[in-house]
Amino acid sequence: MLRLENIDVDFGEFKALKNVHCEINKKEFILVLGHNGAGKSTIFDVISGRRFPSKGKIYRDSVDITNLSETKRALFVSRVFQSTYVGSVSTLTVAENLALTTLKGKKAGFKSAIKNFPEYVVEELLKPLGLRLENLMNTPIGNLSGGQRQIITIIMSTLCHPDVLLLDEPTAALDPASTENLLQFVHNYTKDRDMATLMITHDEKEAEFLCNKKWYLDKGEIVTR
Amino acid sequence: MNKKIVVFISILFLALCGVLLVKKSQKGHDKYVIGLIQSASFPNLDYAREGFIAEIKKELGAEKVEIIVQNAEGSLTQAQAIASSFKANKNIDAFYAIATTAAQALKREITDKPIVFAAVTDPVGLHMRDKNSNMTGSSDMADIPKQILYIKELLPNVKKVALLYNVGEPNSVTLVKSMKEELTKQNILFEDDGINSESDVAAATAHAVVNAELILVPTDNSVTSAFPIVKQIAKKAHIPVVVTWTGESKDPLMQFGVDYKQSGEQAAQLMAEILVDKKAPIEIPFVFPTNKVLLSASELKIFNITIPESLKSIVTVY
Amino acid sequence: MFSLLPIVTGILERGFIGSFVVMAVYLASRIMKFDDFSIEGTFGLGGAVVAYSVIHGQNPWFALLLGVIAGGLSGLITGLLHTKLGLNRLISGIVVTTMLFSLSINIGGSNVALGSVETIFSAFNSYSYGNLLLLAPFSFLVGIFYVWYMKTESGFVLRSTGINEQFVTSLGKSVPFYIILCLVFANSLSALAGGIFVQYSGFFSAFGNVGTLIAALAGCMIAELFSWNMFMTAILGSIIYQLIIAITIELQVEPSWQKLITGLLIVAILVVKKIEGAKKKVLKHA
Repeated sequence: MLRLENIDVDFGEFKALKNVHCEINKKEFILVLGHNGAGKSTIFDVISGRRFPSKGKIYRDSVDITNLSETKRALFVSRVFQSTYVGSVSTLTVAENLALTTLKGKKAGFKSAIKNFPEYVVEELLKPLGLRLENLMNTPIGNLSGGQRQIITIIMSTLCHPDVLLLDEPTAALDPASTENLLQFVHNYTKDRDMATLMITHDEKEAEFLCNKKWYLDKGEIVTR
Repeated sequence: MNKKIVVFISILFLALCGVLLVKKSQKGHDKYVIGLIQSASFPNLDYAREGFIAEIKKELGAEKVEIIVQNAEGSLTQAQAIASSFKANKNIDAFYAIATTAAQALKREITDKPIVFAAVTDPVGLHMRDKNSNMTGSSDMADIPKQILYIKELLPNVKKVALLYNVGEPNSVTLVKSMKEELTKQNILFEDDGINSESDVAAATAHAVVNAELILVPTDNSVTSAFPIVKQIAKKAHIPVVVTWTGESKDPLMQFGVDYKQSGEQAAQLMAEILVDKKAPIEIPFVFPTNKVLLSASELKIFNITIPESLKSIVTVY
Repeated sequence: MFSLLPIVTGILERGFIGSFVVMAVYLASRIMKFDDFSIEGTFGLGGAVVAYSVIHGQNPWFALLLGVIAGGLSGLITGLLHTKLGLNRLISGIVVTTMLFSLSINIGGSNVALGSVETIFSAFNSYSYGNLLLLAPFSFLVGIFYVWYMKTESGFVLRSTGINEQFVTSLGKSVPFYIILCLVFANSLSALAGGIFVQYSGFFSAFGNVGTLIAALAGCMIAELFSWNMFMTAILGSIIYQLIIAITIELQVEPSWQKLITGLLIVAILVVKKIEGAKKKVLKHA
């Protein structure tokens, strides 16, 4: 589905990625592991288009997307950041944030935005979680806890059915209980979907049950172990 | 929250009423009340204010005049706010506006009482003397043809003149236009050294001294304020400076033209005609102050100039 | 005799005109977090364009439209300087303001009087409070337009851009586009105010825009004390600011101190907000 060929990323003298070669396929759940500075976030940056590689090509189903901007790539690559603040607009309510998300891939016109609120999300996705998130619809999302916010963010990121979901240490800002909740949620949420999921984590053991593939990064290279 | 807004506005509103009431009780019956509005704080405009206040007290008697002094400090909205405050004050018998924008702000609000202005260069062009106008005053239009003639006689060898002025000041723009016409008539070249604010004065002067043999400044508030710098740079470059105002202490070679203090005094005399003799403003032609020509003795020496016979009776050497 | 009425009418008139600039400051500084200096410049530009157009025989409403377009274009340039050339936000605004000064002075002249040409107020002259009859509905309509717009899809994305650019990028929406759109809105509002002010006061002066921004900022901060919709309280804030200015004029405060008073007013508002914020925190923790 997504193929990276001979990717180099240079920060001046320092090579963040060296000749990275990899493929991402449907339904895969890949854990991205490695030390700080090994190039984990850089590879996410390259996939999401936040950073362009110094060398190499990126293909999506054999279409060259190397020079496609982050804005355009957002339609098929969704990324959830480490910080819980980045994935949603804190001053808007949960409902408003969800309504906004439906605009992905569509023109933002002059219809009342809140009318786009996807009712089915509440019924099909939030209620089954049993976390009572459905009662918080009219609360500004900034008032939610980090764990609650991150769950909503992941749901928001996938409403448009992306090819690839990038999870950049989504549990970094959470306490142990919330972490477990979130990972369980990620597991249930991704297992029946077509999209590929990549997740950066520092805790291999904790997240192992999710994955069917692992990448170890070391000094900018994917190494097999 | 609604309560807070209501309380907040009520307090402010009551404060306004309070102030107005207090002022109402101070009203004096047998006094002339004059509303004075000044556009901004510049030396020349301050002279026009001081000259007016001193003269009007002489004309009407110090104990018989009350002057409400306001200054818009360069802001148009402020000028407009002052004008509407003046309009509401029924005690005021007449108005005195210093500089163009103040006169314009008053013009819109006050239509039924006399307005006397000073330091307005082009009252006709700005519709201040239209039919049934309630305005008259003293224009600060200097006699530019004469000024250029005197320069020619005093400095016959000057080939190129730098015009240093703020392109945003209406008075300067009007004067510079006529300076250019006269310079062309006299076959003297000129260059524009326009500035946008006082902070540009130094750079423009530095440019002027390299490119011209004389710096000529119209009645310009920004240059007046920054004149010490002009003088300093010109002195170093050994270039004479001619200014179109008088009362400058920093010794330009020639000071020509309007004495703003006198301009204020003239306005006061017009005001007295209106208030005492009950004349209508439109019946009183607006006046030009007499032009003065002052030459600096020390500068004449520095540039080694002898005053030609033709000018001796006209100029004052100080 | 003093009468209160003309003073109050004046306050309201200037307040309504100023409300457009307050809305502009709110759009740029608060919604987009883009402190745009050029708002002061476009006030002058709008005035210059309108003065030139009406003197040259254009319909005053059409002139106003031209002024608004000119303001919008200027906002576009500020936006492009920032988003395409990567110029710092403050610097972009300052650069454009500087350029606008030259532009305004060449279009409008350093000072020009409209004389007896027809203005948007001419038709209302026969009514006592005619100016208010025009200005009040006008500023409410513009306010309501923005209240509505901010609820639309486009408005949602615009608001989000100011808070979380990464989020907007993730939505597949262009951040530069929405920054520029917001600046176009803000600067056309400011030009609208400038254009109305010229027709209201009957003349244009190249220095007439001095102090517009700080007055609007004060108005904006007053407006923020009230927790209603900002585009509605903007009008209120602007009027209250004019009310305060009127009081200082009536008090005959030494004019050279008036700018200090404006500054102190802003500080006072900040202090009030800080105290309110502290109170709320205490309540929350209790």
